[in-house]
Amino acid sequence: MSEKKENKGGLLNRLLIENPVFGLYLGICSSLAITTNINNAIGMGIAVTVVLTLSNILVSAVRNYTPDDIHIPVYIVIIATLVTIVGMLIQAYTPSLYSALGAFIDLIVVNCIILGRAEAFASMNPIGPSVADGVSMGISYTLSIMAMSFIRQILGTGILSMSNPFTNAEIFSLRLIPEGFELPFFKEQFGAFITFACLAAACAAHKNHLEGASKKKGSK
Amino acid sequence: MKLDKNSAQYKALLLGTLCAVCGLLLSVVNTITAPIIAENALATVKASLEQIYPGANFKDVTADLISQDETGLVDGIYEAEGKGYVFTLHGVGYNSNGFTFMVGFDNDGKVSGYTALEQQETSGIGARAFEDEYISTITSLTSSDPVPLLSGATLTSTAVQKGIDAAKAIFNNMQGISYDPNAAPAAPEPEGTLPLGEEDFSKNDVTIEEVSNDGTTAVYQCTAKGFEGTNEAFVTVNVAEGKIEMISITAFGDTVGVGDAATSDSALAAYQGAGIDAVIDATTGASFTSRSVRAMAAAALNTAAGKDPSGMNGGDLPAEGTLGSEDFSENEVICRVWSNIDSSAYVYKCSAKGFEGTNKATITVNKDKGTIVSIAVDEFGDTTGVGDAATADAELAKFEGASLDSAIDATSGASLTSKSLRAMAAAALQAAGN
Repeated sequence: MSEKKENKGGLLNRLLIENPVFGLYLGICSSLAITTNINNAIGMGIAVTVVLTLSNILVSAVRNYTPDDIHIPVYIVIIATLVTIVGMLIQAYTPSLYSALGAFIDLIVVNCIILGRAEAFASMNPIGPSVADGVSMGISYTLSIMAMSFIRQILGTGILSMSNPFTNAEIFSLRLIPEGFELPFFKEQFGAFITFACLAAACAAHKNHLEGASKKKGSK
Repeated sequence: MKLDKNSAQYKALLLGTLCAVCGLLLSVVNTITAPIIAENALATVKASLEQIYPGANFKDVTADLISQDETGLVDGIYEAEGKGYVFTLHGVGYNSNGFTFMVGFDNDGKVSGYTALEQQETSGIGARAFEDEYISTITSLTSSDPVPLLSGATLTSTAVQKGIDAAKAIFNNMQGISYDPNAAPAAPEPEGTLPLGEEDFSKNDVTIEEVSNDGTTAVYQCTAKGFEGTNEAFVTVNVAEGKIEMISITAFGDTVGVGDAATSDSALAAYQGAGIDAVIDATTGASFTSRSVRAMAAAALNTAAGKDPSGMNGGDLPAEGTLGSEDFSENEVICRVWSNIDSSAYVYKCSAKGFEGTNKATITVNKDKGTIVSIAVDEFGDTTGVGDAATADAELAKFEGASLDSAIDATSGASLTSKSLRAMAAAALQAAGN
């Protein structure tokens, strides 16, 4: 996986083009499964970001001591340990989030983003840039699944709501679509695929547009 | 000792160290979080458990004991230290979503509590299985008593019974209490053990119409409210003997698969030959529908015997006194003078409400004597085949010569039409000024 070092186009463009979910198609499984409401998306996003950042740090720290032929087992042990710890913490302190995310917390282990970034970035870069990479990838993963769950929650239930995962108290709840006009379809898996496809297409269109613009600039 | 980074020893050492560190880390985190996780799991049920053992120290022992459950109805088992055990259970009654409830046993085997956790059984029916009366029934038991059913809430209480039986099996096994798991529960509270004539069917809103009556056999079309709808039946009565010959259900408004147990051929066969004194048992699991059938049977028997369908008046309806003293206010009688030339034959045109319509009659009164000369029905607004029994010539003849002091018997089976005629007769007599 080659790293593009294009700093032009600003943060938004970077988020869109280097977006792990819609740009690189990594971690799609969890993003399809848990994006039924914003709470789950934020919880999952934070969990992934934490695991990703820590695994990037550790992988980067051991990169010089790891022989090439056993690097995958080493990374997997590191990632699995981190995920298990994060899972236990979530279960202990935010039980409602744990029951909502269920098996997908444990499945962070096999989330392609984490192993992908360990392989493609952290194993070749010092700790500093690896942290930055982990955080930025984590944030764009979080934003991606938030975007998906935003669309799916509003269309599927007609309500936009959030609650405090520690106390389960509702922070706010807005009904945006009158009762009876919501599309429960979007709560289901096929709704997830459609939402994903639309967002990925929009990202791809934006990417093509940018590339077209830079080619024109180059030809002049 | 300097190891080559690519040697097998180095790799083994690296992986071994890594796993050891990770394992240590996991066990540390697990030590910290395990009690919190266990407490969280308990917290969701603790509020409920406290209803049975307030302030007790609870321990989740589900994992140790659940393997003893053969029914799959037990969801959780909690030990209240030093006090007893609480079982959380589920079952399916009438509402297919099922319900959850819990039952507690003191260490000595007494039922310490029984309460619903989540239930959406029908209010007033299945939900009664979670109300005070049944709760006190259950909490008066011990772990070796069979659980009685709740009549009128058979489906729900059967599911409760099965759940409690499952809990009892585990608890008794654990405490070494021997009991007979197949002991028959005490009979449900009596229902339908009263004779038809004495049972209260006032909530069934029975309607009855005579279809035919040849003096020996009468056929009535009846309706009565069952559980959620109205049931209709043709009831054939042997008038002379005052017994039911046959009931056939013509419309079934209750729950298919539940209430229809009470309308099966074998259930209806129980009514054959039943008189007003007969005791007909309620059909288990279909008590509401069964009650509606009994209500129709009772109404038909009462009507055939010339009584009010409800039978509540207990005797021959009618003539509640003389024409002058009877209360006809509901008949809204109107009487107009048609001819008052001959004082021996004043003619009145009257109308009065009968059963469902208005009846009109021409009444001739002998003003001098204050008696009725004749009564002729001009218009009949009631049910043909039923009310017209009261307008037959023989019935009208009863009015001839009647004064306000006369008592005129009502026509059985046509009491309301007959009352409208008496109302008009009384009004005409009063109008004639006697």
